[in-house]
Amino acid sequence: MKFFKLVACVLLPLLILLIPTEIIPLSGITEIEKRVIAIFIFAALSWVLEPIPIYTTSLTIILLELVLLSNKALTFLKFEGEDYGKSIPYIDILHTFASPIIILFLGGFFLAMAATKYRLDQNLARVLLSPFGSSPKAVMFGVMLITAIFSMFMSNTATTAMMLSILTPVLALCKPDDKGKIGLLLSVPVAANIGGIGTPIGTPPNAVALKYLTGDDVISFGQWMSFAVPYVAVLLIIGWFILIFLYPIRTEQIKLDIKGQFLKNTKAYVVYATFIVTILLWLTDFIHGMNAYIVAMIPVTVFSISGIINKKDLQNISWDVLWLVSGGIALGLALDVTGLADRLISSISFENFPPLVIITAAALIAALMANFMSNTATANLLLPLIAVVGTTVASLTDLGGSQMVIIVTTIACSMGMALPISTPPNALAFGTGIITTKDMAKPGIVIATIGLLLSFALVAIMFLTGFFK
Amino acid sequence: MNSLFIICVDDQPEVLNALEQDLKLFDEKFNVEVCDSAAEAIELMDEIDQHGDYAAVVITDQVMPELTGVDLLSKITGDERFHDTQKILLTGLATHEDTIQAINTGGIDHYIEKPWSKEEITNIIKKCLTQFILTKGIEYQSYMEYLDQDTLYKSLKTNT
Amino acid sequence: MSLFDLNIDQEAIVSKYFSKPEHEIALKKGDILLNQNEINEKLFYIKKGKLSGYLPDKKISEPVFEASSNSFVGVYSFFSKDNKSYSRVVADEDSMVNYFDGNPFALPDKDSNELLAFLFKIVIMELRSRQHFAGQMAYEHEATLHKLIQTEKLATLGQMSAGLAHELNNTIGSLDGNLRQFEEDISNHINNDEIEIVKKYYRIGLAEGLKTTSAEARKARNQWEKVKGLDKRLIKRLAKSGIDPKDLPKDVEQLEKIASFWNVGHLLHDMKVATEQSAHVISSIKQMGISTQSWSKDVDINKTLKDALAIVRSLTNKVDLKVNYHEGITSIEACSGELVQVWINLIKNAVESLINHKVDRPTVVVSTRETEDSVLMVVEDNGIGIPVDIIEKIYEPSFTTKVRGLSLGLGLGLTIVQRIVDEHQGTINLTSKPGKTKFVIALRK
Repeated sequence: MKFFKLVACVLLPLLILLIPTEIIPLSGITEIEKRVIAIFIFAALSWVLEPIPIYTTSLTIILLELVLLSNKALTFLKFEGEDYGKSIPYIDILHTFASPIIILFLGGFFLAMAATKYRLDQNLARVLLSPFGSSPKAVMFGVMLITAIFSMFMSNTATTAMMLSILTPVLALCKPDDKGKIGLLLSVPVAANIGGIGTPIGTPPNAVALKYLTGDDVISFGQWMSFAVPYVAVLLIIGWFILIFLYPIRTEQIKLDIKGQFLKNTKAYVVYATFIVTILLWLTDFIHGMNAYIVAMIPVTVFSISGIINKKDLQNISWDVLWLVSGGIALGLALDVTGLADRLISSISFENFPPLVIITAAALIAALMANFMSNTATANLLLPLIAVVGTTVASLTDLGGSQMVIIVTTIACSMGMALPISTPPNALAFGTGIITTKDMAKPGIVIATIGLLLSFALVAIMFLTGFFK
Repeated sequence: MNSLFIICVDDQPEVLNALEQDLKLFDEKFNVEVCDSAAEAIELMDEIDQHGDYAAVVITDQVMPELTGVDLLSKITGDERFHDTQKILLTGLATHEDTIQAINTGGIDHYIEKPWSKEEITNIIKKCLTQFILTKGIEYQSYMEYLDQDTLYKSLKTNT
Repeated sequence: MSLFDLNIDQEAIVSKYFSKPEHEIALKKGDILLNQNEINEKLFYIKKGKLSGYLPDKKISEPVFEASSNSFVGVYSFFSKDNKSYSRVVADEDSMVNYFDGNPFALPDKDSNELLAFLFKIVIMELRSRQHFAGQMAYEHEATLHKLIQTEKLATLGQMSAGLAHELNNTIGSLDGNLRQFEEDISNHINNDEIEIVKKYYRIGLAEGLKTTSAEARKARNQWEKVKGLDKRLIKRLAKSGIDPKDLPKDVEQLEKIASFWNVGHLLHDMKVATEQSAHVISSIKQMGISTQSWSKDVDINKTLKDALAIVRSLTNKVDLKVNYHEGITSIEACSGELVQVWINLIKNAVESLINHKVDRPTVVVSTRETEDSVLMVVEDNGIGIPVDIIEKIYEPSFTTKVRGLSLGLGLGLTIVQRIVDEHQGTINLTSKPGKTKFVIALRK
């Protein structure tokens, strides 16, 4: 099976590479652009079919680009002339490994790792959960709120793992036939998936989106939070209602037991301080002028110097996530620099479609894809094209242009949460064996639908309040 | 710099005293602490953790009133704070059942039979310290003379 | 059809064939009816008394069969080809026998059939009873052998432990002697050469040993850390000594010396304690094999209890101990050293079971009492009790029921108790249920 998938992923792009440019129904397409199409199709196929791990697809994209598209590409693949097209400087392709986006994420990783290592997450969870008492509905809301907040700064997966480890012992005490167990368990991945939308570092699709919000479209860390956090809050409450409605809890009392106390030593204080300072700096770039990428280097440097994150911890960084994003950026780079994206978008007469149809289609495609494949890979594939749509389609430009479509699409990328395979948090919750796919799909689909509608409302409000200038 | 602790647990003060004497050479760079009960050891480890220091090695007798050595080690194993702590069971007479429990639930790294020899216990503790320092990613260069070269080489070989 | 369904009247047969007055033989106890290998053509009917068969050639003292009144002997030789008796038949008591002499086949047909049918029955019955007898003998033999092996085992264990104790006794003796000399020498040196304060703390160390617990020492360390110029090791030692920092000079060199000599003192103390303990353990092992102590006519069991409590103090510290002496208890004839052993073993037994099973509020009550004809030694605990299935076995020497290794007690303990009580012709009464286990040992006045 895996073999056939791999063959499919290789054969189709190879076929495109071999056919002459004239056959492709895109006027004036160059050799390089044709190669980009081949690479894009390879990326799309391997990310959907997953014959190889998704981050290795990213690495392959970068290698293929270096070999086929760069100015240092294989000599016998290059030729002079108009129809060869514009090659990409190899240095730009390699730079995707250290793109500011990657650094931003690295900063997020360092914060999350330090927080876990010095048990800031566990202790915060303990303190923040205590006001919610022992009524199951309140506890569930508390769990969702904290999961959402944590997943804004930590990986959704790590947050889910931590919260599930707190929650599962309690679930065992529930009455065995209590449907509410399912709701309680689902509240964690739902909240983690939603919470990730809250900040640029909350989930990789957000970071990928930032990559395409450049120039006039740039959105700062604080600006992102200014619209994303209210959105998360509203959707979280809706999600809570839906889970309670679908899976009413009959157990009368739930007591979460989280042990521990805040560490009180120098290093722990350094962690607390750095955490607060970094977030404050991220939110106040309009005062100090340092953007989120630069601020992200602060926790990286401070934690390294102080030995809070040491060599051994560096090995635990999810390099695969970073490389997955790199590959996406490289793919976007190729689409952009070679001019293929422009040619592709302009060849489809988007002008004829009403803007609402375009937005709805983009969001639906993104949400659908994200359900069956990695959210990040979805963003990697869709956002470079969507970004061009946003700038080139005039009817959209008036409504907020790239910013608007990118935000809607990015949010849609986080709406893939109907299936256990949709996101790692879903897989973790499913792994407890308490819930079935159907249990997960029901609220997943409802919440995602509401989430999409809500994202339209969000951009409408942003448009009305003049966010898009 | 964070300190590393070697914790010895036995209910008989004479044994503790002897153990402390034999581990004197580690006192230079590490902290050798003695506890006469499992409960005290747990309290001490808590304190060490609060200070941001490391409980690197725990050596415990099996037969003690209240909590036994295996009970103590099981508690440590179940505590994620001390996930990397190296555990040694030091005992004169352990039943078959004790031994099985020590391995399965206590997760012991080493087993030393009483009476011990200074050389034996020193070597085992060196091994344990090396293992701990490497898993924690602590700079090992400054501890060179207390490390087990074999364990060190084996681990460093696989690093890039 | 079973042979035994034949209606054969034994009385009729006996009166017809075994009643000739001239065939009547009276035997005195010990008289030999038949010798081994003697030719015999008679079949003997035992009218009264008892006879047994022996095999003198096999040198077996036990009989191979027994026959009492109303049964027959000489069956084998009567019917066999060579008519040789295979055993020697001896009267166990004064007996009366009558015999049939002749050839049953030579009788008239009717008589012959009647007699043969009867004899056939006799042969079968004889076979069955002899087989039964052989089985019984084998069983008894087995039991005896088992008993013998047990006794031998115990004897071996006793000899072994006695040997072991003897071996170790010498070693401990030499350790003890050398230690004393060593202590004397060191004490002399220190008393001559050192200043007063150093002497003082050496003596404290020697007299009291290590008094601080590890937790206390750690706490004390905080105080010592305030004193400037002390290194980590010195602080550790000083903290362990339990000396108050206020009582000592701030001079580092002197402190170093004080700590060092206190340490020497406390090590000597510990070694002495260890030697004493070893000697005690050895003496208990010796009790297992041989009794070294002499008997006396006026042993006060209150005193034996006092002695015992002094020895097991380190154990009884761990539990709530209640002691009730019966004032003015009558003295008895006993071996006081062994009675101390009894107390020690019973108390140890109780304390260890309480601690090993982590009993809540562990309590041991020991008392002496007196009844009309006995004095009683009573040890009671509130442990989980002795399970019914092992209550029979607790006196057997065994090392396996032990959880605690070093203190050589329980495994041999109750065996020793039983041996000693047996020697004193006393009785042990054990009642056990969860929450109350009580040993009462009664010794006759």
